[in-house]
Amino acid sequence: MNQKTLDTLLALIGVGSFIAGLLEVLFGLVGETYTWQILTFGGDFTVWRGLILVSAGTLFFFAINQANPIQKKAQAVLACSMIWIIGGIEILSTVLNSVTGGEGAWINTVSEFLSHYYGPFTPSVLLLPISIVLVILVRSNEANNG
Amino acid sequence: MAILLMGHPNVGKSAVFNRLTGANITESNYPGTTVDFTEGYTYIDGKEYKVIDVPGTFSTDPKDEAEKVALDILAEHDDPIVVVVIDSTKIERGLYLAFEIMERGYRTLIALNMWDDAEKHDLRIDVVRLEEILRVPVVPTVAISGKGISTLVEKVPAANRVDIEDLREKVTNL
Amino acid sequence: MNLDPEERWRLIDKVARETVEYGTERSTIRSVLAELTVKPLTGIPFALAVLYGFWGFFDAFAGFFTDGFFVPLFDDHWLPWIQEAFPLKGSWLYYILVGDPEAINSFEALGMLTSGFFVAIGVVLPAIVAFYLVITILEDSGYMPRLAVLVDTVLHKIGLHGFAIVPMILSLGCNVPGVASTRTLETKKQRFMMMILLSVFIPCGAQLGVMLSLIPEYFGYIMLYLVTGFFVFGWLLNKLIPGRSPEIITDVPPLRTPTLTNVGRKLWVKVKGFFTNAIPFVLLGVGLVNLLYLGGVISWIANSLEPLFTGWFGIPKETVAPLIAGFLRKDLAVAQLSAIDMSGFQLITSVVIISIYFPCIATFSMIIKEGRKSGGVIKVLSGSLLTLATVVFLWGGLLHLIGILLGVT
Repeated sequence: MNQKTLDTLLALIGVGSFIAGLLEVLFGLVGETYTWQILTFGGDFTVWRGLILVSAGTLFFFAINQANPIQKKAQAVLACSMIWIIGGIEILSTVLNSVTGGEGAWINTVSEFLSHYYGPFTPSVLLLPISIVLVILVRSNEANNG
Repeated sequence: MAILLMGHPNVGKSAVFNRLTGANITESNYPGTTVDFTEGYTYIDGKEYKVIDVPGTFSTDPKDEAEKVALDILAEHDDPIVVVVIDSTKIERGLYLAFEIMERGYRTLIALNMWDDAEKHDLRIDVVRLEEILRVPVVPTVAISGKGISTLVEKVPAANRVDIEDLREKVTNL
Repeated sequence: MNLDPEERWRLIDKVARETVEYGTERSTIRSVLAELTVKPLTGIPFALAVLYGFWGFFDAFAGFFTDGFFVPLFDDHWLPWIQEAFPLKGSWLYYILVGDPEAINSFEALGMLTSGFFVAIGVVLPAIVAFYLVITILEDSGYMPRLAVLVDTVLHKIGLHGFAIVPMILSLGCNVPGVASTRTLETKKQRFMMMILLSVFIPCGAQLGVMLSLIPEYFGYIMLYLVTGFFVFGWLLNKLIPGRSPEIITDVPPLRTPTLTNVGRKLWVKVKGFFTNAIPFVLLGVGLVNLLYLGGVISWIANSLEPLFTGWFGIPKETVAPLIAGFLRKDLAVAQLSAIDMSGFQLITSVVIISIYFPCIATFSMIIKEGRKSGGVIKVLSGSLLTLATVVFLWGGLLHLIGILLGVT
């Protein structure tokens, strides 16, 4: 993968996380929940998630400016792993919440179970696929050079 | 007969101990987890050996309570076999402790642990040459995965006392 | 024969030159990552993400088991069954073992077989499994010491240099090994300070777990107050106690991928230890408190300490019972506190008091054992009791004052 593709990808995900993070902080501070299509801002601890996304975004920008290729990749991986942590927790709690039923039921019905997966999702979950692609590219790239 | 596992903090002594004795003591990736000693048993060629996981020490000149415990254990046992566990990526430091132990006249065996890390750092250690110079068995190991442990076990009976005078002369003339 | 250090190094140098070949060391992504996690600029945001992940995982995992399964299991099935099935209703034995025959949830029944079992299995067990799972992964990956190095940078700023990273980490799991590991500190002063600070201000894993699952909304405030106390009293003790506290140089281990077997094995050891050591103590604690209630001891203590409790600390006198249980298990004490009717700020205060008033028995006996090696039992014991009393009185009272000033009591 050449430098340009990597930088473009970094810029894309960087802008995405930065703006999404800022919006999360904003909605978190106001205390509102806002949903647009499958994207939602709000809920418990939104401010924290937002702050982490903003710093991840900033780290992606650092990575673009970084001349040393290893430093660049490491910074990108670090930022991606921050997105994974918040996105991963989101997915885990969705899965666990979908299993248990409401009053008197131990396990959910199938339709109730599935209804948890239609979204809407927080930005970190939606950023997850891009960050996975990014890390796979970075890793395969390193293996080739090594 | 006693086998003492000695070495710097966080070189994987507890991991080696678990592999040798099948025990379940805590292995952690940070220094200072073991502050007291743990005993276990292992059988080599039908003979029973007591294995002791000694707290980490930088040298045989104790600086804190945990190091004192380590030296008390060394003094307590009658003619033990000392396995000096060394972090392969920091071999010089480890050899310092190994020298101190050999100077005290103990039967010594060296485990070059974290061998995989050394390979990753592109660090090549000539084990055969090292054995030739020191005249004690030297075994590369990766204790967390168990690699090299069976060779280590095989070589325990071959642990050797070293004539420091000889060693000094030989090394000086290298 | 013995060589002198200089000669030893000279020989080792030669041996190394003969046998070791240093390749061109390339830095890898992993090694650069290892550096990035300890540099404040990149390390602090990442630490924030890790702590968020810790909290989030805990919330999801413990919530799943406790609220999803154990609460309905105990409240809808076990509690009504045992309330009916147990004979001798109205006797003292029924009171101790089953508790309130009319209670509709396992928290408020207060019997050994009802609240005792529920707290131990339903609340603490999921909490410690979740807690230790994350801690073990953080330990084995080598991230824990990195987090500690970041904290250490802050410690340096207030004159507490570099001490006791490992005891602090271990204490978050359980104070007992934490106190034991103070042996790696060099001077008696450091050992004494660390033992006190750990056993007073660092809550153990079980207590953290129960706090996170029962009173998550107050968790942050409680921890903030305790950690601040750690630093404030650390700074004070450092000034007051004579002696040196030299720098401690700790190697930061490399980042590794944790292995499933090692993580599983450690988790298993902890869970096994919980069944053999903790559950009996939780049950014993519930039984003891019930017995003291019956004997009128608790109301007597509560009434005689009322001025101190309501006047100085601003918490209801009923908190005496959990405080007594707290000698045995802090997790149980927190669970009992959360069942007492009081304001949010009072709950925060009483949980803080529970954490700092006295170490649990297991930790206390470890302090006595270690004290023998660090300047004599009498000295360490009287020193720690004096410090303890001062800390509880000042730090507990200060919180009440803060509450009054904020107008939230």
